[in-house]
Amino acid sequence: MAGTVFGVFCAISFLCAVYTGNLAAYGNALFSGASDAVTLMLTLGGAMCLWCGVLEVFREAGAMKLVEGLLSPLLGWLFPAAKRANGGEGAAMEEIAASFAANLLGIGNAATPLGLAAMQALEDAAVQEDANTGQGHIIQETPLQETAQHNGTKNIPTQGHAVRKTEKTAERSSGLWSDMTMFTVLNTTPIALLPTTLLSLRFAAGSANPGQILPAVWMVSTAGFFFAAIITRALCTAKPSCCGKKKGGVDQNTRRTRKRTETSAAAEKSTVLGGIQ
Amino acid sequence: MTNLFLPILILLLGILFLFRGKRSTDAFLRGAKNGLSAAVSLFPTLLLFLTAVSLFRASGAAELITVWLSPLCRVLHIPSELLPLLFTRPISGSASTAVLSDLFSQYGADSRVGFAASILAGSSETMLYVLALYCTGKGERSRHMRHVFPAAFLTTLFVTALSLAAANWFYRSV
Repeated sequence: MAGTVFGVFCAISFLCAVYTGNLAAYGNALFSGASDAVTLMLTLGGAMCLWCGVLEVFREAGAMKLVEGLLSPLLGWLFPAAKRANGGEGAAMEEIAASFAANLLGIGNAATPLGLAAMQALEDAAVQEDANTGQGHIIQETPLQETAQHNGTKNIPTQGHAVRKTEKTAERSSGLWSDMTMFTVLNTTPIALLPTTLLSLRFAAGSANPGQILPAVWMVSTAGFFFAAIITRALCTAKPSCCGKKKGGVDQNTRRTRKRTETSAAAEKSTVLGGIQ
Repeated sequence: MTNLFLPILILLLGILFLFRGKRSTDAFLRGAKNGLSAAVSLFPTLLLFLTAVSLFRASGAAELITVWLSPLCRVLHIPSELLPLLFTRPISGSASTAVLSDLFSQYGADSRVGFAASILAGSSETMLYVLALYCTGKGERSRHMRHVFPAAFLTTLFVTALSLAAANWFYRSV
């Protein structure tokens, strides 16, 4: 996805730069963009360390369970797989609840780091789940079980047949990936109870009543939030294979794996798994 | 109101640190360490993305698209003054804040354009920025989440349309 966005941006901006003729400024923008990234990284990095630490302190004291309990009806509906994960114990629910709470309270600076922490926790759980189900599946249904056990690693796709099976399990166990999609999309339209930047801007511009737009903002952002939830649910249910036949999906990966020799594929897979666990 | 949340949070944090001493400190250090590694793994994508945004802005693409699209806006009854905001809002928070304050100073915060701009800016997020941050990580996250972009894009369209409608309705009723 990042690649597509970058490509489109580059193509459009190049054409426009040629059209407007300010090619020098266009070239320099390459460097200013890079230094912007460093600045943002430093500010965001500090906030992330701080908020992940604070979150951990509250979690350790059991306070996050409270927040999670308050939001749990909504969260259970939005993230069914995360709620069911870990044998009904739930995965990443505390992080999700914390980031939602930060968004609701209008602490946007905290919401992003907390949201990223939630994504990381969800991804860890999803990778774990894929590995678990994938293993059970392949040993049961493919003739490759001996090789797989022999090497001590999981799901080594050596032949077309085995690869197909791995693909199927990946599709089936993608519930948590859908939840991650849901979480990301919802973060693009959080319910804005207190849009502080907007209010201060309106105040600075000499508005007679800066808070006048609040009811409209509440209505629109709440509607947007539920629209996002419904459309994401619809997309993920209609095509649950989050790694289907599209480019960049498993297919491409499979082709790449097939091209490699057996040993290099196995070696890489084991490093990947080793890195994850 | 919102100015109260953070101080209360800090107070709670202080109480926890006082009464739970070492356990809290350990938890904080553990969490902060995780946060740092997450931030570092974000950096390459952030670099790619911000470079793209910077190129886009420097090329004058936003102004060109605004000029080309203003006839369409007249047909759809969208005030064409809002177009710069429509384009910068999903891309960059700081740029859209600048555009917003510019609109306010030009047309006034309580004008029709000001209302529409306020509602639009208040109820939408920097969509592409959120996607870039959330869809990258250590693992192979992005290829599992290919529904993210269409869903987020449709939502942005929906929120934009709804904001404009709400602004029209709201401005008349005030």
